[in-house]
Amino acid sequence: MAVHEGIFNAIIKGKRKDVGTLVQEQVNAGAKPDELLNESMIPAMREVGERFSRNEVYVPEMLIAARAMAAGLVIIEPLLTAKGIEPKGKVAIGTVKGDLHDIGKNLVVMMLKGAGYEVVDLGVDCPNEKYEEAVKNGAQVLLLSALLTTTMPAMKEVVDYLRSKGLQPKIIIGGAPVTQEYANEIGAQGYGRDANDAVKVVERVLAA
Amino acid sequence: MPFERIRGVTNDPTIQLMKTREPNFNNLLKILKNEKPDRPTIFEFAITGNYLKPNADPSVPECWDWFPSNPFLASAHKNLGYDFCCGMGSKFGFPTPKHEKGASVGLAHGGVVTDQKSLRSLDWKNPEDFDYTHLEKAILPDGMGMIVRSPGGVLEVLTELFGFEELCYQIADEPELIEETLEMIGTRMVKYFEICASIPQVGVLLHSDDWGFKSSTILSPSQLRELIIPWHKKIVEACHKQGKPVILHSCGKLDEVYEDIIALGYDAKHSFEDAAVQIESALERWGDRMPMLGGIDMDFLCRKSPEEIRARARKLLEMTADKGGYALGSGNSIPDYMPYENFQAMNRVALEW
Repeated sequence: MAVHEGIFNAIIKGKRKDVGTLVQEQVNAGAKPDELLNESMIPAMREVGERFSRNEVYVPEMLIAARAMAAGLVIIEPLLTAKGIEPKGKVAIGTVKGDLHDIGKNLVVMMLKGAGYEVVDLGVDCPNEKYEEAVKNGAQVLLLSALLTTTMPAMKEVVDYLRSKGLQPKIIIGGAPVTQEYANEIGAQGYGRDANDAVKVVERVLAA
Repeated sequence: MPFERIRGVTNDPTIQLMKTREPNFNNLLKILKNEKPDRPTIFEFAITGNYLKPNADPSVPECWDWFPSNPFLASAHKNLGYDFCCGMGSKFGFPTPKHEKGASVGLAHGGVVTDQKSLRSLDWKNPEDFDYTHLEKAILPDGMGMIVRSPGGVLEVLTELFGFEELCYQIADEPELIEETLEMIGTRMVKYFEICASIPQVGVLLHSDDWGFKSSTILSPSQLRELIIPWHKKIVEACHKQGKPVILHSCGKLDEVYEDIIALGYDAKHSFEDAAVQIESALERWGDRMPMLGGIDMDFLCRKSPEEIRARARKLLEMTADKGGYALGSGNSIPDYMPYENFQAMNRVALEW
């Protein structure tokens, strides 16, 4: 099927009621849920992410769009599960130990869900063991978030801890003080500049 | 940072330099007019108590009221080389939620306003019901002035009351609730500034309101212009009506609203991060129309060597030596995790100029 312009535009504009109504109408009319997701809904969130990266839309608009996307996913996801269609991958994300900031992390969660991933949100102030458990439960990629210079070193501790346990998940880091240089330094596989970039990095490391 | 470590260096030449420097508040006032101060001037709006305590005169009784009139804080600021003491005008504050204690605070959730009923049921205080007489009675070291800062900022308080994500949803869903909340915050904030600015002993005011993330403004520029900036305009007008300069402290990437900040009439901009807008770039782009304070990135100050910090501080002072309109300092504040030798290295460049 072609892109459903109504759903695409409603997600971009954050019209959650419209998204719910339109997706339900399409499902009732016999549209395939995976096609709705892959050809209309995910491209809409991708477009929001691109506009965000170009500073054409801002965090509030991205949150509203993600909320609208969620209104469609509520309808789509049970249908996908019933058809045995798997998500694109399983990832886990958490703010590191000692850091309670979660605005950035939550945005990444929304963007990853909007991109078709199963996302396990580990929350904030995460001890190493929480990341370990997520990997043992099937997370292929771990995303670590930190806002503070003082909590950033906890990222290296997570990397070292998991390696010491013999676990080799792909690790992506992000947050205000974090840089690609720091990712290289601690042995992380990727650095996400913003929520949109984080999705691209997840796609890249999973393809590698 | 343990006090012992700092006490151990009290014979350091930097400390002696700081202590022998005569304060002159006029230097800051000249900077706020975008003029050249008589000598390089240093600026911070917040310094950890761990660095203030060992630098206060031993004869002044220890007191941790965060008022600029507090002789203990004023003594410490003087001995660190500052021309002013910065603090709160009173104990007035907003009914923002208490966060769990920790190294940091997350603001995505945890708000207390969900509707009109919850908004109105909060324990709203009025600034005029608090005591400001300590400002009038202040006896500061000769040459020093007082900077009075705000209890948070208009957007900061709004965000805390709703939680950031809920705020974003409510802006879209319930604009009237947002408007009413802003009215309750804004009228009180303006009144607070009116009271503080009217006190002759208060020299400068400072509105602390973070508007930006690392990569963009927190709200969109159009939302800032519609919801937040009108209240800032009233605050600036309230200060200027009393002939007092007012500084904006606002963190994050604000490129897109710098022209708005300049148009508002703020007398200086404080808070810069290399990942958002570097101070050197800000000075080049807007420095001719807006004085800038501080700006050496916090991460840079914490992780670079004293030599690298001195080099950057020297370049900043050289950049602004002819024109003025600049005071040397950190990009944000001096927390206790900043190595003391790095804090000293930065300030020593100005003190030895």
